[in-house]
Amino acid sequence: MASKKYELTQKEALDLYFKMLLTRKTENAHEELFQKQMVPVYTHLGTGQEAAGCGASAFLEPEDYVIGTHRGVAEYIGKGLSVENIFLEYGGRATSGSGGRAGLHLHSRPQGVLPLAGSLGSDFSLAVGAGLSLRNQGRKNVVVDYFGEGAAEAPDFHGAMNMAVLYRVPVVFCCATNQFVEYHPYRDSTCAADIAVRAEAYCMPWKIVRDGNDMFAVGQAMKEALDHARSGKGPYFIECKTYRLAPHHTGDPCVYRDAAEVKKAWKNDPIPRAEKELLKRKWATETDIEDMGDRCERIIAEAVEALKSAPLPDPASIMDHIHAG
Amino acid sequence: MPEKTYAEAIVEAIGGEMRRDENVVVMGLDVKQAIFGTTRGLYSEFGPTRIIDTPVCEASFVMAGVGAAMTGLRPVVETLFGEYMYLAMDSISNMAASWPYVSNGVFRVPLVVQTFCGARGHGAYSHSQSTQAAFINTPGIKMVCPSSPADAKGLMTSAIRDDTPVLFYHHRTLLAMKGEVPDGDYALPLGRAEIVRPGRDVTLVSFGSYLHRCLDAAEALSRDGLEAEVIDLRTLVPFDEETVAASVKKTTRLVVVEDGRKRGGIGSEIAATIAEQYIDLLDGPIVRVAALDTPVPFSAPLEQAHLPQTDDIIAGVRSVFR
Amino acid sequence: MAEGVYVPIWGLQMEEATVSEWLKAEGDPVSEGEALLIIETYKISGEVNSPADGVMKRRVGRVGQVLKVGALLAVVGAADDPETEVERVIREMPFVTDQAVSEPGATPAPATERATAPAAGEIADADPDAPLQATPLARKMARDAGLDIRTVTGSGENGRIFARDVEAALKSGPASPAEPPAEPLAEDRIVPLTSLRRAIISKTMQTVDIPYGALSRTVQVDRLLDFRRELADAFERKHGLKFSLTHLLFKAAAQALGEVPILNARLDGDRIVIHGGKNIGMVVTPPGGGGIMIPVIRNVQAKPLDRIAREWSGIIGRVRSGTQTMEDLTGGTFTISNVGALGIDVFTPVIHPPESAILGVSRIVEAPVVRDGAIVVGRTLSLIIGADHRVFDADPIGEFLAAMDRIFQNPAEMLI
Repeated sequence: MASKKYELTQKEALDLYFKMLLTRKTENAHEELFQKQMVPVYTHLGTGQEAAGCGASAFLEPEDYVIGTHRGVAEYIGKGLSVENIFLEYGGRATSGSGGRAGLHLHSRPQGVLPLAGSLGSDFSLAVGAGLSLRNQGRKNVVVDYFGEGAAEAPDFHGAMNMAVLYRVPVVFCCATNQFVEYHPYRDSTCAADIAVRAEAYCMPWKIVRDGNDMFAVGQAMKEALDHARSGKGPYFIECKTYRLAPHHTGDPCVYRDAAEVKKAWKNDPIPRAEKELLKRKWATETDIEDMGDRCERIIAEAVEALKSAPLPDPASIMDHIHAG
Repeated sequence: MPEKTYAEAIVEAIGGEMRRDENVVVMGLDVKQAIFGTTRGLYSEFGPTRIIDTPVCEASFVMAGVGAAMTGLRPVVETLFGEYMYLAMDSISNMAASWPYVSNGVFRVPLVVQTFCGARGHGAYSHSQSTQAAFINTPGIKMVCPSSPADAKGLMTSAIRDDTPVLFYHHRTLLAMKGEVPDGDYALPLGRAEIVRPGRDVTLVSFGSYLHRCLDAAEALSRDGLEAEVIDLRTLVPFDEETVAASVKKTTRLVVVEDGRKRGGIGSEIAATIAEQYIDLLDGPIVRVAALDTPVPFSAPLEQAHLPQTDDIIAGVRSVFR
Repeated sequence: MAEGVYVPIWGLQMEEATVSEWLKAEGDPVSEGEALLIIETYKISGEVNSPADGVMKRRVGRVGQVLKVGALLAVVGAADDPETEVERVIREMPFVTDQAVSEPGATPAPATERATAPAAGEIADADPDAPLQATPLARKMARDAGLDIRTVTGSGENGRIFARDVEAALKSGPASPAEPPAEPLAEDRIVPLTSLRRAIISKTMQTVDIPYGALSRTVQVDRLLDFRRELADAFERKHGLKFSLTHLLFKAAAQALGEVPILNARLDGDRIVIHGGKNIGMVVTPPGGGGIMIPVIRNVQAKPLDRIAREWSGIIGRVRSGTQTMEDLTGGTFTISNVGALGIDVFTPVIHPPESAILGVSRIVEAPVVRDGAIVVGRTLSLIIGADHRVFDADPIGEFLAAMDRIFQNPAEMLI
């Protein structure tokens, strides 16, 4: 059991809730933008996984690093990436962080969002490398490598786990097991039910958050893991059991799963659950909740406006940055 | 001027940069022990946090090098054989090559990946290959292959200082080569070729160990009154188009020599570039002298047949005149 | 089933033949053994016959074309054999990898010949539409100079044109049009090589490396000529043949070779083969000129003068009608070259390989000679031995010429 010292404070809980709400609304807005053909890239929504995603990154400083996934924006919003920047990237606009070059590959140096690999499961070692930098530079920062169980099938998982422990890097590996890998239930391609237990083989401490839709549980586990890593004790492995309420991507008819099961899973939606708990603890009122909702709407509306007026990149810039300097 | 081996020259370059900049680190299999001599003595000077022995996982530890490079370190990552570069291809060609460009310069990757290539005799298909051609098509990188100890030191220094990812190929048969190497730090510019032997009749372009075969061939040709101009590319990507073109303008003939396979090799790119831009300068076909398009066989007569020999260079030059 | 008609081999030394004349047109019926065309080698010309009954489906060889032995000349087959069948035969080329040695020079292809794609392996340089082999730099130089690059002769393999060739062509180009020529231009006349001339070139080039010596002796021929004259009528009455100096030269040479056999030898690797038979060739000019031929009488030593005369008559008859055979022109061990009729006094006769010696006979002249201590007018000629000094030196030559002289002074020796 996690010790009480890692329980969420009220502030932390409200912050985390807000980020989850913003994530949900942003993703829905993305779907809308795509349907209206205002952005060319379709969605890989992370609906239902907001607790795991936001929880993984919400407790990080700007100088900490996160490596995220291609699914949803939870870990990015959790880290502080702006909705505006997200929409500008999806829209391929000249004023995005990448000048329209990155698309779905969200990243930010100021916000400490590291590049992610185009091929699933190739960037575990990227996190280890970032950890080496932190170690050598004597920084008290950490890396959170957030991924799904599908990525954990890839070979780099092994190489990174081994090196992480060997080099004692400050990396928290956070696996959100959402039950599905692309178009199939994960047990069809992963032989073992639990992912975190593999950390045992690498002599890495690990924990499974069985209720990964409980933001309080996720937050508590993450805080402990981060403390471990930050204090120089080396890497830590967290697994959050959750459920992918969204299809794999826009338009996926989900023939590989049972509609009734999905309907039942919606009852476990982390956002209403968090809302209920906040109200129960009297950490927020209905009005607070509403205000937070409105704030989210405003942020998104402003981001959409920014998207609409942002120019596309000039092809003359095509050869910029091919070589450094 | 002091005489040093190629390997010693590399040690001087890496060591010099490690002293200059505490963010320079070395990663690879047994870099502590310095299997091929390129990190000899550095572990005792810099210790395990900067001379980092890795597990056997090129795909992963080169990716770790990429991650470290994106976040403040300047890693020199070592794969022991040219073949192992294929293992690291995702890290190099997908991540390191792409992200400086994709992030619009925000995430630089000041990484050097060095490897040891070329047949040394009986290495068979897995310990003999010169795999530079595998990366000729990868954007956003530079690729270097020196031919002498002095060049090796200067080019390695530049490679480490360059914020662009640099692939550094050492021909293993040159590691023990002795040559005059200046003491102290110095950098040779990347992307610049050198005319090591002027001539008027044909331009011979090569790099690494095969530069020396070209010089041998040039001497043999000279006895027949054919003067070859021999160019040492030093940097393969980007190659010094200006120097090569100026030479071809003078000689009207071009032969490119490499120990890698012919199809899609370094020579192919140079030949196509010169043919595309400077076709009217050419008084004969552009000839590529390269290894056969086969895996490297083990037995000596087969290996020799696979690799281009000095006679093949001479024959290649002569064929331009027919 | 169509069949190919190929250049036959008529002698061990035959390598090629020239298409001389077609006797059948495409579509003509042919029967087995019937002559389809005439080809000529440097020695002889002859007919090539059809291998089967049928029709002439395709004439492949072109008049004037020089083809290798085994090259395809024609395709014969059944009247209803389709084109694909003909093409199959053309493709197969069972005997050679490439056909043509050269193309006809001034002779244009007859209009009736079908314009097909060249047979596999034919050198395409005669075809004006064949891709031009010229380097980019050469093309640019020609372009810039306003020179038609097709007029440039290439020095490279397959006629590839290099910059140096364009340079040379520009240097030797015509004078600038602004200057009128000072005098009418003497134009060169181009003579294509006949197969005979090519054979002569080939043969004589083989003698270039022979260490050659020419040694001569002037001999009196009065007795010899008297001998001939005295026997001429009886000879003609008995044998129906003219009795000539040529017959006497054959016989005398055979006898002298019997006394000095080393001149009837050849160098064969690391040994010398001294021939038993004296197969003596005599240089003649075929009708129409353009070269020489050397018909041979074999075993002259065993033949009396009448037999020599009869054989020589047959040979000359065949040469005159152009029907000389391979047997007529091969097998010689020694050669005589009589240039007296050309008015030549001194010359160095060229050895006919693989022989080691040649006897040159020069012009008969009236000259002062010494007889019985007094100077009188006699008739002399020079006998010149052209010698391969690898095989023998001056001593045997002296002996041979002395023997010839003795026989000339005692011609009755040739009767016994």
